[in-house]
Amino acid sequence: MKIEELFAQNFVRHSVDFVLELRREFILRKCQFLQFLRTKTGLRGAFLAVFCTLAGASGAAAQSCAMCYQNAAASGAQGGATLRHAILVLLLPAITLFVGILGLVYRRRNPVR
Amino acid sequence: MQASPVTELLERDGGGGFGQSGPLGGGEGSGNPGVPQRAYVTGMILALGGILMFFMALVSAWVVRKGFPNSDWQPITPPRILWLNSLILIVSSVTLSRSRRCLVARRDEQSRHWWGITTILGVFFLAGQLLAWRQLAVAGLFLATNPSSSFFYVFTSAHGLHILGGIAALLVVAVRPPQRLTRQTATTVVAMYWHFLCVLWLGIFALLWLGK
Repeated sequence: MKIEELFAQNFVRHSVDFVLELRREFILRKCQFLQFLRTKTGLRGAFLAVFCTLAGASGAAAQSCAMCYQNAAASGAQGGATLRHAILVLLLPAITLFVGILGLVYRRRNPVR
Repeated sequence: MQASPVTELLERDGGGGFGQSGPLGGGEGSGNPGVPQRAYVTGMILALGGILMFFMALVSAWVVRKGFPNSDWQPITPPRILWLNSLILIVSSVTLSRSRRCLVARRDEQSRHWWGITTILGVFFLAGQLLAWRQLAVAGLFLATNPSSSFFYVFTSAHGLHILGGIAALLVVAVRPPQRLTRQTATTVVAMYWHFLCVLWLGIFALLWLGK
């Protein structure tokens, strides 16, 4: 066998081994991270991270469609109040559902034994 | 601690386990091994969440259309027959509860009896809604007459379609129960859906009457 062929074979084998090793490492880290999330500290950390992300993105909340903004601004105080009510009508059940489903998932996080 | 009817039914199904046929199943709905019966209840809860959000989107649109300044909103008085329809739906909810209680108490014949009454009341409700539409049409109020009448038709038709689905589910469970889930689970899931539609209708009715 030529030296070039040997080199190519070894290169492919080592590359595959390297990728498999990376994959194993990734899965291991992922499992460790998920296990950490299941602990109290992990859960608190996750909530803190989500909170910080949301709090840090307050600038994004100020952005909106210019046309919508113009329309809302032109509708006066009554229009603004109407829009706020409509947003609340959509927001409250959505948040309730979100919290409810989250609670359901948390309560049933362990498989039935 | 006293077990709730849902828990009791699910426990009789095999503790949310593997779809064992209950004593009243009579061979019906032998269940699908591997799918916990509780999964169907969870699925129904999620579906109800989706339906709720659909109607909330309509309510939100109603709030905006009605409350915006310079709106062409002309209030309409909903037909009085809606009171009777609401009563029918409430009674149907009660009869369905009775049917489930009979099923828990292993009185199969009575359970079927109340189940049938619920189905008939559901059909009566739909007929009442059609009558309400007829009364509005006679009064010259159609879908495109004004925004208020449009919302009335949209709300009642969307709810009516869901009721139609509920009646279909009631019939299917009574006549030819699905094989994947036990009769107890099917009863629980359909009852959840029906009670939800009843409460939803009361909300829509209050909105149509108080918000006119």
